[in-house]
Amino acid sequence: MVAMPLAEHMPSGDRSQRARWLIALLVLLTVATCLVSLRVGAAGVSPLAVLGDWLAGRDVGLRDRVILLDIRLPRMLTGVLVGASLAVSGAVMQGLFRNPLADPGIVGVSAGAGLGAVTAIVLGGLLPPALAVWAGMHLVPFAAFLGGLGSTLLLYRVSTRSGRTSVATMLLAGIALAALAGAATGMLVYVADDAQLRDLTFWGMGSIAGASWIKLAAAAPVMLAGLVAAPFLARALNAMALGESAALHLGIRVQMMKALAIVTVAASVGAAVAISGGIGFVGIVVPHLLRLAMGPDHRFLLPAAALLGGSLLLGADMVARVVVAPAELPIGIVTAIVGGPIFLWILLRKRGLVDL
Amino acid sequence: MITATDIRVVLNRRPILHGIDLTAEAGQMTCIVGPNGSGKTTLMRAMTGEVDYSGAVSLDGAELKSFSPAHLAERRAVLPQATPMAFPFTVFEVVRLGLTGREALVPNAAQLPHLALAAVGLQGYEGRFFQQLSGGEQQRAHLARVLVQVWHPVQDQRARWLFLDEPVSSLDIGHQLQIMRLARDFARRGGGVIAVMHDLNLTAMFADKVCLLAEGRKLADGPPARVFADDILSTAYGCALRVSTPPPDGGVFILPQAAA
Repeated sequence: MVAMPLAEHMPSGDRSQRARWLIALLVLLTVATCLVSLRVGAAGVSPLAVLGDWLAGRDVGLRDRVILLDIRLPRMLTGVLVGASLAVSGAVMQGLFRNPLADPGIVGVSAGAGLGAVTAIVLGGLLPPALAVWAGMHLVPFAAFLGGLGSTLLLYRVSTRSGRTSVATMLLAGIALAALAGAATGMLVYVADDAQLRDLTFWGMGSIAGASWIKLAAAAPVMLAGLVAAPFLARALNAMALGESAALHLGIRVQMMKALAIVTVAASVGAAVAISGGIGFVGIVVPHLLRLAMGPDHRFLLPAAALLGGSLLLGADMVARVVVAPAELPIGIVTAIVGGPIFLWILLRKRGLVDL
Repeated sequence: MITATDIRVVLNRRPILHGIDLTAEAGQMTCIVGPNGSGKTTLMRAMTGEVDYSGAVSLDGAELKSFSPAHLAERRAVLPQATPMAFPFTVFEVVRLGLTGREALVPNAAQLPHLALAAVGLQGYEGRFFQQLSGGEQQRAHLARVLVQVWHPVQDQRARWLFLDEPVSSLDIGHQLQIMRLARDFARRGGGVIAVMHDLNLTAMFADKVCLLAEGRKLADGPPARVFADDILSTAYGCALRVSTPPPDGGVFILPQAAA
């Protein structure tokens, strides 16, 4: 039997009030993390002091302004958006597959998005010049979106029969998808030239260190679109926890909602992967912790996942910046060190769910 | 009134239903019975729009396929045989799912789940996790969810419907009677009930109309006293059965021991 110690403390069974409080706390946490992340860095620049100077009409030094506005601010926004997108797409995917182990990183969606991004970096030059100019900086995120969409669709087709997802098939198909995408990515890396290789190496380490306004402008609209679409899925995902036909009988347009969920996951993961490379485990750890704390109601889970995912990734980024200073650890390593054990813990606690 | 006309269903290239006609009236309890594999559940799934069928199903004269899912959800609720839940929802949260999309429209939405749980004998279970309930308790929790969806049997002067697929299959005899009375009460208050049943005696006690299926065809329909005849039942179930009548109220019962 799974240990669920929270049961005794909620005789009414309604956890929505607790969820509202938790979301309020998470808003505070996110704001605090954002402010702290503007403060942390190699150069000792205090955002509050700079803001004070600016408000008082004093001259803000060029160096401080560049560090704050062109380095730390885009990095902070990138971290929040990427973390929120990864956590929300994890929660949506788990709702869609009706399983807490469905994570874009684990089941090959990130690998598919990565293949899309690498394809764009390496082969983007082959596009007709007119098209390349038109696509411009959006090419990599869009290709990553297509890669993520293709892999999510394929995964859903392979692992879901008449509304039931086989977990074993899902995880194994994810391994196969990731391996295929990895092989194709490897072939592209093989044909890449030196400049492209440099891009690919930095991109693939999973980092938000290279965040800039330009990259953010390319990926942020897609991530924001995914985050905005997610709450519209909440009721459908709740109903689909009962299975697809039960959701239909509750008045949900199941096919449309499934399509929207898949596109949302692909868009969020694609954009996040395009801007930051492979950052794992945020999508599985955040929703799981939140389900323990406030229950699986997606009306609360999705916004809470965005907030906790955003602040968690910013926190991981600060750790990555500090532990080996003045150098930086790729953030993917930090999230894997934290997330890997939690993933194993879920597996151990919920063996029953894996056999579902 | 729900009318099914010439319903044919083919699943995996195998014909399951060979043209079934069935009319169910509001205010009545209509039970579909028949041996295993006779197509009872498939007929119900066709009538709820869950499987593809040829033929026609109409609700108050309008073809079922012309309703939007949300509109249909207003008019009828469906209890499937078994519904495994993903994620650790509490019993209260499961029952509240019956209000999906209409929380703001239903006047006493906050109270309904508690009332429905009391109606199925699960008061005090609100805070328990659904996965921790026994099979029979899970079945009753889902029934409470379905009840919440169509709480008033008549709304805007239109009957609402309950589709129940073996609602008492995993219940003890006390809860079987409780749930059957609940369903009959829903019909007495003007709603319509269509139930797939296995237990012929409970069907004889509670059904206003019985539809007997065998091998994807309708063998007989009408009041239980007429459908439950020795020769019809023995043909349907492929074994000798004898219908008996208990002295006090004159209903029929089926006692396998009494068969010749």
